[in-house]
Amino acid sequence: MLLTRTIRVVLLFGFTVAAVAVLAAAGGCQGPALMTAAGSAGAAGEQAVATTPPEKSGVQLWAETCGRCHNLRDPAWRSADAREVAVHHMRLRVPMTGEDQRAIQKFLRGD
Amino acid sequence: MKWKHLVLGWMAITALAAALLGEEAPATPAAPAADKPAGVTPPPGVPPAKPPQAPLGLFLLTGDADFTFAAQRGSRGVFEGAVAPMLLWQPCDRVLLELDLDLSLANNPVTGGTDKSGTVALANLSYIVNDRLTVGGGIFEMPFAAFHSHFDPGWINRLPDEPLPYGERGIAPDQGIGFFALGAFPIADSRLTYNLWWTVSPTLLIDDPDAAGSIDFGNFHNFKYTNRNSGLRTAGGRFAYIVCPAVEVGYSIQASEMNPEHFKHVDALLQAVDVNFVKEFDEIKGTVRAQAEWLWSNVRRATYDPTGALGFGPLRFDNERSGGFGLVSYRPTKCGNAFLKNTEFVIRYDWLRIPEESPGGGGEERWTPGVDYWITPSCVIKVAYEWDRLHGAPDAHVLLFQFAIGF
Repeated sequence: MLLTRTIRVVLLFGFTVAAVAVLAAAGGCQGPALMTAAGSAGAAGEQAVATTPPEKSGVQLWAETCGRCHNLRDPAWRSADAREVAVHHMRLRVPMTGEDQRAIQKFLRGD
Repeated sequence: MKWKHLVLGWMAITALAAALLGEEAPATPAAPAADKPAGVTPPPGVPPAKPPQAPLGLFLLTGDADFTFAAQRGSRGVFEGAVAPMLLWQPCDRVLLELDLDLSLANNPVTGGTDKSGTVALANLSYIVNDRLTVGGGIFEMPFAAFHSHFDPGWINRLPDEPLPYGERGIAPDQGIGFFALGAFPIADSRLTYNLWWTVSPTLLIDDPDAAGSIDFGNFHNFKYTNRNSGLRTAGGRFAYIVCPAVEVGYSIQASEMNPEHFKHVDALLQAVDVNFVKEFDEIKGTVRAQAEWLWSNVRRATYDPTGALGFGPLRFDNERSGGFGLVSYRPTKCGNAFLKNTEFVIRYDWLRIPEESPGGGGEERWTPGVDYWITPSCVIKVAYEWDRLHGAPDAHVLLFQFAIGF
């Protein structure tokens, strides 16, 4: 039983390391942009809002953090208050640092 | 030393580190204009300044809804409508109340009647202690592996149904009642995130001839079980490393002590690893998403129906189960054609292995190719065909249609 568990852990570790290596080699860690809002929004009426800034900023954190799981919605879709609550809620779903939360909220406020 | 003690120790060290290392979050997050990061482009239509907060704080009504039709050869189709309204209340910058109801209605092809369901999926209060630590309690979504916390709602999930480890015979917890702590640490451009939880234990089913030995994770909706398992006898956590924006790798562990009535105490250990990837490639003019998870559970050996009174015992078996899924999708987001640009091609392989000798046991594996059409970023029509192979039972292939929306 213990041997089986040990083998399983070793296999899992190997699987994880291999997966990360393959994804990184495939270009996953090259370049700062995860995806553009234009590509994600896509449908008529959605506007392109994200670009690739020279350093990590609110818009980039927004695209990276939110776009990792779901399509990006036009921020203007919700009111400023609603966007603030939504980002707070998402901090509970996918933990982010306080700095990241504030940067995203600042971008969504248009500061 | 028990697994539970190891998990508790690990959790305590992480929470302590977060409390000590986290910097105080300012009550008002607004920064002076001079600190505006380079390259920030305010989105069109976004108001430039934050309006003063209302005396009662901020409210948001959000959620999701989906309508699914499943057609299976030899049986009547199943139509299901589900809506999950969520109320969020932020009385101040650090506090958030989440209240979410899951309501669904479906026809039952066997009885010819209607199945109605309504549960409180979320009812919790959280407090941001500092930039690295948030604590809370109540009914909350268990971030065991990544699917429930990241991809569960119909407008995010790329296929109409959940992977097998999260289904009816699943081995992953979905909600819990208890306390939680979570946070993240920056490591250069990468992030290390953690979730910790202490909850009422799930229930080990002991008298169901079709499911004895399985764990009921939704037990806390039944206060009889909740009382029986009183005390926070489950501890768990998920630790994830966001290697770079495109790649996240996570490991989850949960140890539970379960106390079924008139039965011995039984420990359960659940573990999972998950990898998520998403990136838009110029070379193939589109976005690739990949998700993979591997989960397994180990419930201590026990003798079910020891007297044979229930008709299936005495039965004793190694209660080790495992499951997982791999999903890949491609959406030509950089294609010039508007229709193709909003079309996403998906394929998933998922499996579940349950000991053959256990009640309701046997393996299952599925291949599910599908096509999604995105009407808006949070509104999607999905079509999928599921090749479902059940070990020791007839195959259960099914055609699925779904309309899902997030609001």
